[in-house]
Amino acid sequence: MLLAVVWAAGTLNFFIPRLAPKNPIAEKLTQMAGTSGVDPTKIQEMSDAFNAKFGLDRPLWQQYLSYLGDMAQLDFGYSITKYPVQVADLIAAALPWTLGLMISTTLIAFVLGTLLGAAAGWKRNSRTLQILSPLIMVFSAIPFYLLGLVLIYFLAAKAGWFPISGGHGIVSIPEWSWEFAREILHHAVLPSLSIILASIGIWAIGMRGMIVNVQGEDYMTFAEAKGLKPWRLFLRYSMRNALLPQATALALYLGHIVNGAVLVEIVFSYPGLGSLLLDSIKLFDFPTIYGIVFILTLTVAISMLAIDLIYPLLDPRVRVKGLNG
Amino acid sequence: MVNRRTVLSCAAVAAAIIFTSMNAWSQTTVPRNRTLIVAANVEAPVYRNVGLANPYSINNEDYRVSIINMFEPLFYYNSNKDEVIPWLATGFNYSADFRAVTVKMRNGPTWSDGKPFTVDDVIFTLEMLIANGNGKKDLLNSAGLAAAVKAVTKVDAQTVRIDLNQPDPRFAFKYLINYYDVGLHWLPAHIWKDAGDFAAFRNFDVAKGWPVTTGPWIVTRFTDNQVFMDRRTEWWAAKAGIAPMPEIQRVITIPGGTRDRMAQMIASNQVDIVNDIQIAEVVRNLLTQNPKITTFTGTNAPYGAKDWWPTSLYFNHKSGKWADVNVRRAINHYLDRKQLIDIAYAGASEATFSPFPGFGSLKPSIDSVKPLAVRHGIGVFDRARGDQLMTVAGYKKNAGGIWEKDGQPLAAVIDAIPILNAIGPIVAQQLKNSGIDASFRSTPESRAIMRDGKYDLTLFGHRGSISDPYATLEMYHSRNAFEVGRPTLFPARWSNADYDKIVDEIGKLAPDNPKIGGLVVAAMDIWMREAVEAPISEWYHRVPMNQTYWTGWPTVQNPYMQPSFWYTSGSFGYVLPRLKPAN
Amino acid sequence: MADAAPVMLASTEAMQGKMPWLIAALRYVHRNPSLGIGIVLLLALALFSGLGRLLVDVSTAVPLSAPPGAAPGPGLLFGSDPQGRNLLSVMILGTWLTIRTGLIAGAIGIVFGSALGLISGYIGGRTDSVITWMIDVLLTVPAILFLVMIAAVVQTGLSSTGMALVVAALAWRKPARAVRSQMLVLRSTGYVEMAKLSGGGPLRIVFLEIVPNLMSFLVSSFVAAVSAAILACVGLEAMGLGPQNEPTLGMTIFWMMEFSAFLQNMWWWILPPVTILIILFVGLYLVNAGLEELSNPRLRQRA
Repeated sequence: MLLAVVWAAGTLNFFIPRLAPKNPIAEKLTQMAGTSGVDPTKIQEMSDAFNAKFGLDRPLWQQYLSYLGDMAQLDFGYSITKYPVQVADLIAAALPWTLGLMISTTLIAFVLGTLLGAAAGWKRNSRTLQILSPLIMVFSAIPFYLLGLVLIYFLAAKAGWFPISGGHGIVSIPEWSWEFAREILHHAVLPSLSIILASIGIWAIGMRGMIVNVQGEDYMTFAEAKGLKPWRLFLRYSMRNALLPQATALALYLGHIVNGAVLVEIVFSYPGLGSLLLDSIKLFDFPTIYGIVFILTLTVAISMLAIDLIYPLLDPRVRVKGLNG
Repeated sequence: MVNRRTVLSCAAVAAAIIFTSMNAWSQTTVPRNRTLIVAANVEAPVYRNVGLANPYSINNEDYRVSIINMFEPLFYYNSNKDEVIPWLATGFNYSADFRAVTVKMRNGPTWSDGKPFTVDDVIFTLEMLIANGNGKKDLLNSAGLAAAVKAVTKVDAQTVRIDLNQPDPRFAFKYLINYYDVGLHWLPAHIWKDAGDFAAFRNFDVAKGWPVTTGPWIVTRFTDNQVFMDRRTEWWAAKAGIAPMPEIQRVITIPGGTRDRMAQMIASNQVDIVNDIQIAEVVRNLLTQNPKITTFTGTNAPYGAKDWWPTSLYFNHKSGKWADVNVRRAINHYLDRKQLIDIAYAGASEATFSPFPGFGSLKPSIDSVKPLAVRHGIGVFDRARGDQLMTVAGYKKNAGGIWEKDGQPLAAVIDAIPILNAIGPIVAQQLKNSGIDASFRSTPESRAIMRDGKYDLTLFGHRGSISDPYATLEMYHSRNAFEVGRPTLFPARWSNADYDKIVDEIGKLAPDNPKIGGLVVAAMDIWMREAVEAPISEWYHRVPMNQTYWTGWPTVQNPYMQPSFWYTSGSFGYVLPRLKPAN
Repeated sequence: MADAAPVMLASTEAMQGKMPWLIAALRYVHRNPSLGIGIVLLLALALFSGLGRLLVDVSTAVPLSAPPGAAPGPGLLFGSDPQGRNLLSVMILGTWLTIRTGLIAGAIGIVFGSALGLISGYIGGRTDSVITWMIDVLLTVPAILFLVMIAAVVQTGLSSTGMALVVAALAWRKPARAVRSQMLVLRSTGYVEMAKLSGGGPLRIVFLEIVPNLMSFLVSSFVAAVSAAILACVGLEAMGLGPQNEPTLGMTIFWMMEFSAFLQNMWWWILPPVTILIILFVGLYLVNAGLEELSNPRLRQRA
């Protein structure tokens, strides 16, 4: 099933950029118009030369077949519009930023949001939670980048406490030192904050819903009747049951991170996969698009597979069901 | 927050491993006041082509603002004073029939690996490009050079003769003299002869000291957001007394990113020069905020240096929509250039009435065509006259206030590349206010539409002439009027046989021939009469330069070079040794 | 305020005779504040936009209508942008355009997605597996790839309706899946069997029996779909790929970033579109949360 999904998605993703009858080389040369040594009247000639080089002049079905073969071997080839850099290098350079920013902020938001949602679902009469949780959940309605714009305006442009953009200081040479790590952290605060603030709510809502559902189950009433301490009830019964769907949601979300990351990366000049994807799409750089999307598809598919494998380990009911047919 | 620090530290380690693996040398630290920091490259937030130093690769965005300036040309050119500055060569001259150019090399230049720069290197570079232009065509400048050059011959140890396929009194200006985006870069034959596929050759290896150039710099670091160029211990030009040894010990070039980012970096003295800020108000704010910042024109408008890219509204002469010259003239009258400049550039620019950029060397040509422009009304805002012309063309205003003919309201779409976003909507609105249903569009599709000749109207610049009017005039020759579908960046696609004849004549004469003046007037008379396009304004590069650490920048008081450093000519390399520390 | 209570009680009792449903609705809203606040916010925006079009001349939302870059002042309530657009008109027009785009995309997405989900869930078997598989595959297509590609390719430039259609093309995926799950749950309940026994055809059963039961779920899905659609549209516009000649909120954000509003301290250009969008998203979210409470009594906070 996994393979079928990956293949189908791969095929779809091959053809979508081709819907536009565009030539990446001609696009690139035009984009460079005005500030590079491209002869304005020789665009056709240069396009033809590179078409041959990249096999863009072959019939579409031939290109499709070699695309399939390349993807299977994870050979993404050369980027057309950034020749002669290899797509794998482009992705490898962008990946740490996306991983570093998006994954860390998602994990933090997940942990904080889940805790908040659980508390909100459990103690529904607490005043603080009644005020705090709607506020946090309301933040979740705001797209990351809008929040980012506001934060940049107030904390970076006006107050100057944080840098407006970039990953580390200008003249610093990346090295393994606390000093450099501190710099990275300093630069990561605003982007992280906007993502965390805006996404805590998502996890909180989900968790609250789960906890509430679980609370209504019979076994909870039974456990309470048995006289278990509330703490124990909360952790071993509520949380554990509610956490499973929540974890599923997290796995699925991780596959779609890049979607939401694009505008954040644009707003903060963060050189991650999101802005690489957007640049490639705008210039119809097929190999790079295919490479990135393939990695994303693979991530989603693998995370779904992982959930399918891990779920039975965590939830005995699923195991038993499987055994009994 | 242990989670976050651990994860981010891991990311830092991963990043560090990737970065440091590209550079085996240890970095010495250079004090800030001996470092020049340049923030350029607005195309992407990082360098995507790390470790590429091949000057003929089409993807030169990353090294164009840094490493290219290590390559020295045969001749520099200062557009401010219209002066050719001999550098690796001492002079050139044409044969009487302009079918050959002889260039004499200077005795003394050496490569950074110690070997002498000789005429063999020049011949190697030219032959490599010509072979490519006749074959694979995947190197910059190769196609044009191959079409122009018949043979390259070594006359003696200091001299080379280039034989041309057609007589061309401007060959040197097209290929041997470096300015803006024009000019070649000379390669060390002893390294490049083993390069293999020239288009794929990276020409980069820190350990080996590649790229090897004649300039006083050597690349010691090239990562996805830093390029370090360190000063060498010796330089032939300093030895020969032509230029001072640079005081700058290290040039660090980083990606510029967005305009906001560059402005804040230079305002806080973190960098010394950034890319073109374009928006006049922003530059003005920078100047008031930080008195150490200056521009080419100091603290006065237009806050920058003129570019060879004056803006015009182009008509698509192949689509038939603008076939009536009265309509073209009317549109020209409907554009209020002063209002446009006031709004888009805060008044910091000038209106144009011809396709020539207002460089000093072109002033005689511009002055000579001014009466023509006045006579034909080109560049003149006069709504009443425009209305008259539309009526003559058979249009009547309909109920919605739009000009209509045969039941068809006149609508047009202005396609342009996003850099024209400041002017585009205003031009569209001005036309709308005058009765033409115009709208502006700058989507990614727009550049293809403009390039392939499928546009209604477009806004674009010119390039072309800097020192003599021929190059601009030649852009309107009918051989450049490509059919719709064939890409070109000369959008006009206009043809006129009489105009062609005159321009061909000019092409045969040397740039300093006095007969040219009269021919220019004759050609431009046709151009103006036919209202080929509607000129709008000059284009300025508003580049802020920070004097906290470095002074001696080129300005109107000291215009020794144009300060735009992102062009492929490498002319910024001429500026670097002339910058002096501020303290 | 103690003596106000009997007065209020008396007047509600008086009204009760006239509009019982209104009283019930107001009472419910008092118990379910999210829904209440959400509706208030959305109504406020609708009023701003609707009344605005009547009171203000929105033809001034184009360049050259006002002195460029002017701060808010007499006659220019929200100031103007550097190209001379009257920002009050832009906000009024933009709010309406943005909401309309979201409604179109959300409606198409929900109608098509629910229909597909219901049918697929009802029929079951191989058809269902194939359809689910197709939806899963489509779900892996990064939305940004599809949206940007289409937006970049449409030769005639995207209008806001065009963009709504493009977003709708992806908006039906999630509702299809969600509705199908609901359908699966319901299918196994008793009354569907009853309806089958009573001789109804499949279409009758699906649309006349099941849909009314799913009403609150569908409405809440619709609100979520509209919110997601607006998010996608604004995102596209903020990247510069939207309808450039229509003063939507997303395009305003794009122009604002393009022309360095931050550096020029044009707060009157930055805050209004961001605030309106925040109010819009928050309003939609609260309405959605309120509807969820409506359909899931366990979530109710107050007795």
